[in-house]
Order: sequence, then C-alpha cells, then structure tokens
Amino acid sequence: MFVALGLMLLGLLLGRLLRGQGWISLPGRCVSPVILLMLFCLGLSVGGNATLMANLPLLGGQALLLTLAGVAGSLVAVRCIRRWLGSPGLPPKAAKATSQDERTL
Amino acid sequence: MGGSLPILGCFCAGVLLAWLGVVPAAWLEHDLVLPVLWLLMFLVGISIGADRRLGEIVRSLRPQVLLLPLATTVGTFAGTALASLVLAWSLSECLAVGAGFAYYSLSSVFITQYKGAELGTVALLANIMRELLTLLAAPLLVRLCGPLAPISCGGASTMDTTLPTVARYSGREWIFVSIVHAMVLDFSVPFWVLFFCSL
Repeated sequence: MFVALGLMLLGLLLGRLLRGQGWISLPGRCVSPVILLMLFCLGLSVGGNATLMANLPLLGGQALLLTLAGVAGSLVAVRCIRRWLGSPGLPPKAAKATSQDERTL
Repeated sequence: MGGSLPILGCFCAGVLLAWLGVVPAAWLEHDLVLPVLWLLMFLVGISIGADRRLGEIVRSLRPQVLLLPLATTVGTFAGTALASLVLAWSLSECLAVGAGFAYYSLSSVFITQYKGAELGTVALLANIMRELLTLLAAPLLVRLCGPLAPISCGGASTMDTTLPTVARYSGREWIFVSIVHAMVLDFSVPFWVLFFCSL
C-alpha cells in the first residue's frame, strides 16, 4: 500500500515537472488498458487458488449476500449526502458564480 | 468509454485460464497483480500531476468530504444488519464481516482469530467481492448513482487497488476525496472489527 501510494506521488511529481510536454497525455491514455491487464492478473490469482475455488460455492453465497447488502446500503447513504458534496473540480460556489455571470451576459 | 463488460471479460478470462491450467505455472506462482497495480498508480500519478487543474482541486477539498466515509460506514452497517436477518450468522458477526470495508487481509485475519475459520473465510470472500465489484461495476455505478458511488463501494480500497478505477470512471477530480475516504475507513477497520467480534 505504501509502495503504491509512493509510486503515485512520484508520478505526480514527474507529471508536474513535465507539464506542457506533448507526450504527457500518453500515460493517462494507458490507464484503461492497464486496468484490464490488472483484472486479468487478478483473475489468474483467483482461478489458480484451489482453496478459494473449492470454497467459492460453499461460503461464497453468504459472502455475496453480505457484500451486496453492504454496498446497497452504502449507495443509499451516498444518495442522501450527495447534495452536500459538489464536484471538487467545480465547487458549488464557483458553479453558482458561473451561472450568475451567464445570466448577466 | 470502456464500460463494465470488457473489465468483467478480462477477469473471467483470467479465472478460466488459470482454472483450466493453460497458463504457465510461473504466472501463478508470482503475484502479478501487485507490479501491474504499481505501474497503474505511477501512470495515474503522472496524469494527475500533468493536469493543470491539480491545485484548484486540492484547494477545493472541504470538511464535508468527511461525510463520505461516514455515509459508507452507516450504509454498510445498515445493509449487513438487514442481511443478518436471513443468514445463520448473528447480527454482530455479520456487522464484523461488513466492517472489513473491502480490507480483506486484515479483517479476515482478525475474524478467523476471534470467530473461527468459517466466518473468517466468509469475511475474506465478502471483502474480496466488494473490491472486485468496485473494479468490475465502476462504470455502471457511475452511470446509475454518480461519481461518489464507486468510492463508497470501494470502501477502504479506494486509495490503492481501486484508486485507478475511481480516477478513470468517476474522474480525476475525485481522487483526493477517494484517498481521504480510504484513509478514514482504513484506520477504522481494526476498531470496528474487534468491537463487533467482542460483542
């Protein structure tokens, strides 16, 4: 976990230093294919784990129910608080100011 | 836009190939997920660093961000409490599994220790499934419930394994919210799991 966060910070620094270079958008475009590669590898490690595959039908059903219930509860809770969390790129104040500017124009 | 189907397809292809035993044994012996994850984090880092809106996004972080881990906690507990009505496990046992928030290594070790291997395996599977669900369904979750949905669904994993997915599908502007969310949950996992195990 700390290696992963450290690598991201390193990338962040590198990206900041090289900002404005033409090829700097290339790594961002590689993210989607690499996500697919990671999921393929995750599948390999799940399919290759005999204990996990044997237990999957046995306890997996209960686990799946608990997961879906927990996630569903989270999503309902998120719907309730969504109005207080505007997009961080565009805070509600800025959004309001923009719409006011448009009205005056 | 990728969508969930190619993601699910790649995962299933991996499971199937490994299960059929047609991949080289070396691929299974070494955990390939971690180095690929590291590459992914590095790439995401570069793409955020090169983003001109970076400073603006960090400055726009407000205390309301802490509402998100709170919502994830309350929602998860409510959902797993409901699920305990139809399961053979008790309320506190179900809550202990839910309190892993996709942090499967830590929560399953604690639960195995305090409640036995059977519930420990359920905890391991349930929390791996939560992480998997986030990775696989992120595009769908964003479309149905907005950019906060994959973050809440990912629980404590949204600052490492599911962070690239959040960045890709919710948008890069959510990345700091995602990290704060995971940090708060990460620290709360041992507390909640031990608390529910002791009930």
